[in-house]
Amino acid sequence: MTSLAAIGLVVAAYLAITLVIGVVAYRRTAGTPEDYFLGGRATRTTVLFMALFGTNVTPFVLLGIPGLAYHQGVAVFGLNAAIVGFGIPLTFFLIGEPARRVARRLGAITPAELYAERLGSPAVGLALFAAFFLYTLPYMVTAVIGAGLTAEVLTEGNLSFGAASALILGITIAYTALGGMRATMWTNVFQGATFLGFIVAAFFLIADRLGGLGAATSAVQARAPHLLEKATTGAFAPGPWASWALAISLTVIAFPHMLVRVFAARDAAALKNVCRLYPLVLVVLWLPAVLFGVWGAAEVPGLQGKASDAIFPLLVARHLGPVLQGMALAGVLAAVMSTLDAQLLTLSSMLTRDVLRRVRPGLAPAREVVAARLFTLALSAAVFVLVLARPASLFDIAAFSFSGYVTLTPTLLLGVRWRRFTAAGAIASIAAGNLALALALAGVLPAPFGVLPVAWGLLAAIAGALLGTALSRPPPAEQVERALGRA
Amino acid sequence: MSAAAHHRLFAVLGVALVVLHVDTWNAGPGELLLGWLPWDLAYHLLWMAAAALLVLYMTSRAIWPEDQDDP
Repeated sequence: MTSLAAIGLVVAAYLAITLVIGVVAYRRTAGTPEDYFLGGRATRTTVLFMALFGTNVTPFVLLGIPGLAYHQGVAVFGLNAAIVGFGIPLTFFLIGEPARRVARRLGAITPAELYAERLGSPAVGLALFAAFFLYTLPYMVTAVIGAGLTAEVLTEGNLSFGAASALILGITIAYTALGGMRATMWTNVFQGATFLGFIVAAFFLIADRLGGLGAATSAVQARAPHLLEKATTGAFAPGPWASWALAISLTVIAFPHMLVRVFAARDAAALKNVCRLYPLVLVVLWLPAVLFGVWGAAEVPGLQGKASDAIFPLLVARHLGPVLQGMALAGVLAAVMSTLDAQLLTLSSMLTRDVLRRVRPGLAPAREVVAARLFTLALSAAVFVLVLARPASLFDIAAFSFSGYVTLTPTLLLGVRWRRFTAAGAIASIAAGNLALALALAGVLPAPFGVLPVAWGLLAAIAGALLGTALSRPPPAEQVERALGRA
Repeated sequence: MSAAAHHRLFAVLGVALVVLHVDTWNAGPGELLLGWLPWDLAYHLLWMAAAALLVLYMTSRAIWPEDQDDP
């Protein structure tokens, strides 16, 4: 059997299992919007954790982080991984848990729907929908680019970037459109196990092929010693370091596809268990990802710019056999699809619930599900066009989206934690935050101490929320009580 | 200890952890632990261990009570 055939067989097996899980979930899914979009709000710890973690992990971690560590060294771990080990559970507690309670109380299915109902303002829902859409679409593009890139490297160009991207989108559409949330969560368990299992195995196998952990590090010491220490300039200076930490800690709960999965939790106990597991599993995933990049700099020197995004598949191709290369590709595909399915489902649910239902208020529940399936197809076509354009490196695209999501966190937090918070405060926060972010990204606003544009966006969003609320009348007591319960 | 005191203690520990994350003192060359683990990486692994403990505290009933409406 040729190498290519072995890789193809492993990947085909992975895709077949994914589809079978999707079909089984489809048969268990009722035709109601709550079951299709939220799996009946009955998800327990294991599925919830794998669904959240699988959704959270994209090629940004599996390819973008090794690519970044290739140029910037081990400090990439401290910059990107450590802080989210605390930040993500903290935001699940501060925003996710109260949002889950309010969503269940109001019967809300999408985040935009929740905040529109809570604040008694369809305009808030539309503003949130617009922002979620603007930042999620490019983030979806990073996922598919990662898959196309890996497939091209590991099949030595036999499966082109475009063909691989189309294949991934096609399979993901199939099980997402059919089985909704239950299908995406069940497949996420298998997909998460696939990429976590592979990255741990690859870590020990590649280290072994390089002569052991000590020899791999010695090679880096000899050829690029600066990669083993933390720099004091660029992203590692205190200002950018602190503001990036802020961005990646706050951004995850503002991913609509993450927040919706939190709504699907059965109870607080399931969400607490997810928080406990998060920091531990992050180490298992991120430590190998960073070390692959650092080891790769000694092993395959000379990659320039975004070419380093391919360092992980390059190491796999050099050191592992065809079956393991197939597993590497399956692992990356799993990471891609476990995020892409959640994003497709969430955006299609928002298009259905937050836009279509407002245009056609009498839409039957069964028609909502049909509409969501059609929106999934349309969204996938739009993503495919953007993927072929491949506008920037994975890290740059993700950084843009992350910063945008952060501007929404004051509204997400205050909407479920502050009874006095008003619709005017939410609109002012979203508008001011995004305007400030755009001005900072365009270089109009200064960058004192090297802070990133996201700091301006967050500051303006907080100011907008407080000012807008202070200048508007308190919301009616019965409206607040319906969402947040008695004081 | 009252619930408010637990919340205050958690907030103080959380702020301390975030301050320790901005570790400017670790910049520059450092030792290799166990012959392969760079000091900067080891520091942040230890930091994550501390974060995991703090998350355990956060998920205790003292900070995060159960939801009476849960099934």
